[in-house]
Amino acid sequence: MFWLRRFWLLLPWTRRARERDLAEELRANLALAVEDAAASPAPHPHAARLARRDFGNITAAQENARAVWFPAAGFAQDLRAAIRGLRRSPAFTAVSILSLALGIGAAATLFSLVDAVVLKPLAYREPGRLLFIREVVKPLEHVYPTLPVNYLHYRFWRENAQSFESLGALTSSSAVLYGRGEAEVLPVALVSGNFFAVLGIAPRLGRAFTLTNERPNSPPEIVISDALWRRRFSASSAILGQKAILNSRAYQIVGVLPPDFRFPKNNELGPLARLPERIDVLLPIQSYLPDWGGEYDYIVFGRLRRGITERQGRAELDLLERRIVETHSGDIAEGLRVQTWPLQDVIASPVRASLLVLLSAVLVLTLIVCVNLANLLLARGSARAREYGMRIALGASRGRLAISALTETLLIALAGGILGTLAAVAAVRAFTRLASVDLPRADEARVDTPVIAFAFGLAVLCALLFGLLPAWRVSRADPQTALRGESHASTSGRGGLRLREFLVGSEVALCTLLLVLAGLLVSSLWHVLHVDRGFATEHTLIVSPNVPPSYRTAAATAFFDRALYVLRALPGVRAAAAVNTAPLAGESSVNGVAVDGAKDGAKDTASNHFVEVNDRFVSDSYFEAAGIPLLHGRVFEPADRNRNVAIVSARTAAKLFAGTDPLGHTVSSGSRISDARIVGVVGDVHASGLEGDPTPMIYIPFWKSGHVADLLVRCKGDPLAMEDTVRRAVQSLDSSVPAAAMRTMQEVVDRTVALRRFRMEVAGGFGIGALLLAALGIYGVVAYSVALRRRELGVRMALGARAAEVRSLVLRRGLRPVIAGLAVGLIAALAAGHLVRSLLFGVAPADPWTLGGAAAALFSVALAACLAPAHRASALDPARILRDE
Amino acid sequence: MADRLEFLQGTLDMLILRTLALAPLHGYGIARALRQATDDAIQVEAGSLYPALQRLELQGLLAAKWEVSESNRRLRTYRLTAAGRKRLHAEVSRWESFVRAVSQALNPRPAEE
Repeated sequence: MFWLRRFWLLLPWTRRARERDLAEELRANLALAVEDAAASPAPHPHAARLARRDFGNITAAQENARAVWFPAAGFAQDLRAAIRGLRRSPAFTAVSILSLALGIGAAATLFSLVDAVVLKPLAYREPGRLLFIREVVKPLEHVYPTLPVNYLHYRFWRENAQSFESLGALTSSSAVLYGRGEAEVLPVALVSGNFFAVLGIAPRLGRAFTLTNERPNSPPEIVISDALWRRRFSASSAILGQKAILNSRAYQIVGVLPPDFRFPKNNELGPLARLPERIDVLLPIQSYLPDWGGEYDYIVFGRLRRGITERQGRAELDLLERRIVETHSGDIAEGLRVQTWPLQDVIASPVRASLLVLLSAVLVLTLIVCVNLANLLLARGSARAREYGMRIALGASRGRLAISALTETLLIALAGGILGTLAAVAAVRAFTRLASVDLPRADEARVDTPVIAFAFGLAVLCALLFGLLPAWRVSRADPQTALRGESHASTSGRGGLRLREFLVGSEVALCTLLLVLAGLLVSSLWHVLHVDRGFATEHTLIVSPNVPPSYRTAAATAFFDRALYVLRALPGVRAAAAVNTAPLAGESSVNGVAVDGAKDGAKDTASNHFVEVNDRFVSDSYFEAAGIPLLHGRVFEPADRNRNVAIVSARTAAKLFAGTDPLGHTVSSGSRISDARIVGVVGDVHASGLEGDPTPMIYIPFWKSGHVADLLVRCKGDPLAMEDTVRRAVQSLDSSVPAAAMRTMQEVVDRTVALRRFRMEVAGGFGIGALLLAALGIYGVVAYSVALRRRELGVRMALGARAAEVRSLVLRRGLRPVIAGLAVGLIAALAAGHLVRSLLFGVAPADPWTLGGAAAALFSVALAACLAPAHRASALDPARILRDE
Repeated sequence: MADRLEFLQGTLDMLILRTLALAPLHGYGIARALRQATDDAIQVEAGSLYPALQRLELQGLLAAKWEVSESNRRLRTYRLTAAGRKRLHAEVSRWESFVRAVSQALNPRPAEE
């Protein structure tokens, strides 16, 4: 009943009626009291007045009655007053809300990325028991510390390892899907039969493979991805049991992967791991090369038995490796062991460091925002000291004043939180759409409940932490000093200035940290982009025609011959060539080398290690098309089709021949190069990233190799303008070669540095934001100190100080906390340098140019922020100031 | 005026209920009755009285009705409800035991030997 009545009162018309009733009741009763007093036997001369006084305060009665009706009315009042107060100073409100929104938005965006990439667990059953395994092969260790796994080794482990419940393997392939629309090349993963069981995932539809799928004569079955199911099979559940034609063989579709299925990406699985960007089709592994000593091609993971540690699992695998070496000593000369990682750590490990550094940067930025907010609030507090003093003098309780000051801050926090969250939603959406950076699982980033909670938690924390300080000062306000008027030169004003100078100093120190970080990252990117790549980036188009695997060597060679013929005839094409792996497309065909018919592999004269090279199969004019300079001898010519010749890169020549002329010597490498005569030496090229050493190469005419993957087309003008022409030309050649994928060399280079660029852009954005905030803070403090010292400055000028002297006085005072903060920031940057060392390239964490540049940038911005108030101070009119006092 | 009594928390509510237990009254009537009953020692201000009436009414201890007085004035008259009467009894006995306890504490009887 009680709550019902009270609820009733919340309705505006009930409330208004109630107010009217109460007013009438009070009026009537007061009239009655006055009448009563007048009617007494001996009326007092001021009876009416006395009666009114005795009756009591009518306004108080109404106020208190309202408090009975709405117990929260006090808070609502505070809220209304706070909104009014904020609306009265729109500049303050806008600046504080926007700066808070900036900090919250940046933090929430980065948090949602970190949450998706690093924090969210994998969708596997008990992912903590999953290990990722690679092999360490002694003779190759100096080039590749670890390698993917040999399939026979994997099978040996699977049959013998006791510490693992099961071990799974996969490797990449591709296949052409025919029927139902255009033929399409699909990325395929060949998986062990127990793939699903080891990861502990179930198909969303149909069934998983089992070990019987590995038998060569088992019925051909595939599991397809959720994406493919939607795209090609219109998400129909009738798909199970249907046939799909892959590479001219009919497969039965038995299952569909769950939509959230993810497997670590190639760049997370270490060098030479082979896995397509996305997986559309899963096929069981049914055949493999019976080679115990090479073919390290399989990505292997295992599920530990419950209670077994990673170390125990690894020790057992090492034991098994030793048995493999013993039984197959003919194939494997020496040392074989394994390296393991928790699968959870593998995902995102290359970006984890970047993200954590950026997250700390964003926290620093947020801290700056908070400090700035505190500074603004303090300034507002001093500006309103008179108002607060008046309110205290009029009997407002200090607690109440503090609460009303805090209400204002909370309102700002709320508005900043909402704006910041909206900004984060937009930023995350833009990020996942553009996704120029290959962040694993970044497409899963959402501004979801935890992120929103994080944003608002942060906003409220900022508000409480930094709103309490001004609120506390407000509650300590001395009404006497405050009311004494303009003469601000009180101790509390000075104390406030000192506090604010301290805040500005810390802001500057934090800002220095961010600027140094941004500067180091900019410098790193610059260095990476200015590495001598060894090939031409401009005007080059890479075309990857999807030649069906069913094409034998002759058919594939014929296709590429015709393609080159057609492309070279196009106007606007300067050169066209074929290569099995284009520059920056990764390392492949890695083998040892033997020189001049020697049985053993050649050793590097300098390090005494076996030399490992990448074999590349190229057409004639490849070096012209790729822009790789010829250093010595000659390049390939069409007549080399039937000759056994090779060209080596400068690095290979240096390693194998140590300064002597390599021409005329013969080299053998892998299964496809034997005793090829060296006819030329060309410049070095980066095969994978731009950041390491260039990769030693041996080039062989592609007619010997069969399958070539890429066509390099060097255009006379903009390669993008040529895309359609080139695509049509390639497409017209052979109807069974499906649409060719295409990219420019510039895109490939951009992709290589995308993560670095992203990191730099984020840190740079933070740095600029921090700089602006610091400028704002500095300006506020200097302007405040000028206001405080108005009288003093006026007296100085009246006594003959010149404008320049006043200006330098203000500047010196304003720059004092800046210089102190700068010093602290630089020292902190030096101390924290090692934390970011892994992200840098070509620049030391203590790079004097970067430190100096950051300091100079900050100092000039600080100077600019001080100049306006300093100038205003020097333009003061002493006569007016002294009159005002 | 200086020795006007301050109210203990909840005492005013009890006094209002007690006053209305005798007869329905309007606000000023309650104040006057209290003043007369305590020889001017208790003077209830409008700032306390009317909000208290609102509160008691919200709690369902009082019922209010607009009535026209003999002097032809519309006045809001309060009447005790059954719940109000019950509350009054409870409050009074609570008060009495409280007073007994306090006076015992103020004038302790000599311990019996």
